[in-house]
Amino acid sequence: MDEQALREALRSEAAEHAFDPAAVGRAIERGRAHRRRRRTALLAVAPVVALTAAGGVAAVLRSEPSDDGTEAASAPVQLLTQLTNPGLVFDARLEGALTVTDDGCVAITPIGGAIVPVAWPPEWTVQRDEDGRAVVYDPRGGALAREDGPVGVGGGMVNAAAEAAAFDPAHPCALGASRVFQVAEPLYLLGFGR
Amino acid sequence: MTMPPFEDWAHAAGPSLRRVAGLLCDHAADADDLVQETLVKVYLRWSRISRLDNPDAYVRAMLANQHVSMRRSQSRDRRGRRWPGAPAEVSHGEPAVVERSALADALAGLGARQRAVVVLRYYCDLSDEQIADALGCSQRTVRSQASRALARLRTTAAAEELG
Repeated sequence: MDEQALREALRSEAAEHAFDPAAVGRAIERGRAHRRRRRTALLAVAPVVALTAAGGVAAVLRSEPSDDGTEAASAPVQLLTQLTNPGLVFDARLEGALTVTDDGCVAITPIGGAIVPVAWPPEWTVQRDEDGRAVVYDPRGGALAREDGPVGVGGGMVNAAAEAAAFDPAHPCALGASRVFQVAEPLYLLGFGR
Repeated sequence: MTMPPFEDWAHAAGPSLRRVAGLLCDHAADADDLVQETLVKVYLRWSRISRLDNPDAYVRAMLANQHVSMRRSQSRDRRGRRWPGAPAEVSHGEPAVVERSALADALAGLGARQRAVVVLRYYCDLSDEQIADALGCSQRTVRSQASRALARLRTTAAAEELG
């Protein structure tokens, strides 16, 4: 095969691949969530900085404009929960920060990575605490993870069309992704971020 | 020069990016994920990227680099991040047998970097200098990777069908 034949074969092969325009909206959503998380992290350290900078830095950070002009801290939060317990064992784990998207969906953002949509076990719930931060609870009411706090879960990335998928891919908290991290038991959590 | 909104640019450039991603990945879902990850990064840096002379070429290079990074990360995950006693593989729900073209089979036999070089050089028509910049390697490495990739493509049964 010469180089020209390879060029033509690649062009022919590439033409088979179609783009889903909804990917643009998802990218924007995830990008906004990333910015909001970074802003929140900056605000968390701002009081410390303010002690040495006479409050100036904190004031600047608090005045940073929102990406879309909205304040989501008090918006309702929701989980994408599994419709059934698939009873499967997965061997992947997902570690990062508990993240709330613009739509109030609870997901996980790995360190240095992009937000990952999560299908949580059945009967898990989420509520905002008195500080306005989302807290995930197990069926017994135990607080397991807090917004922007560290969290690690076991499970696996599951294609929405797969037999093992136990979630509704049309749920807004699937974030339109082709694959969702489906949390399986047993699971562990790194800690309850405070 | 007026900066176009990210959304407009992404809708225009998305099909091209998805075609490149399709050549870089073995599975459609992986290609979708690769495009998604790249678009998020572009969104976060849009104020700078949109001012470049050729943002599309820059983003294609980002895409290829992201692909190499993701493949490296996946490889690392497969080596050391299992639960004790857990089964070896996680099903991604794709059929065990997927009909692919002979070229797709041949590309699947290449390493991540070799594949990126082939796609950037022969599909995106980037120069060796541009590819070296994109992948963070020397032009000499680009040339050697391309040479090895071509040799490998020629020796695979799938490549013979093409040639």
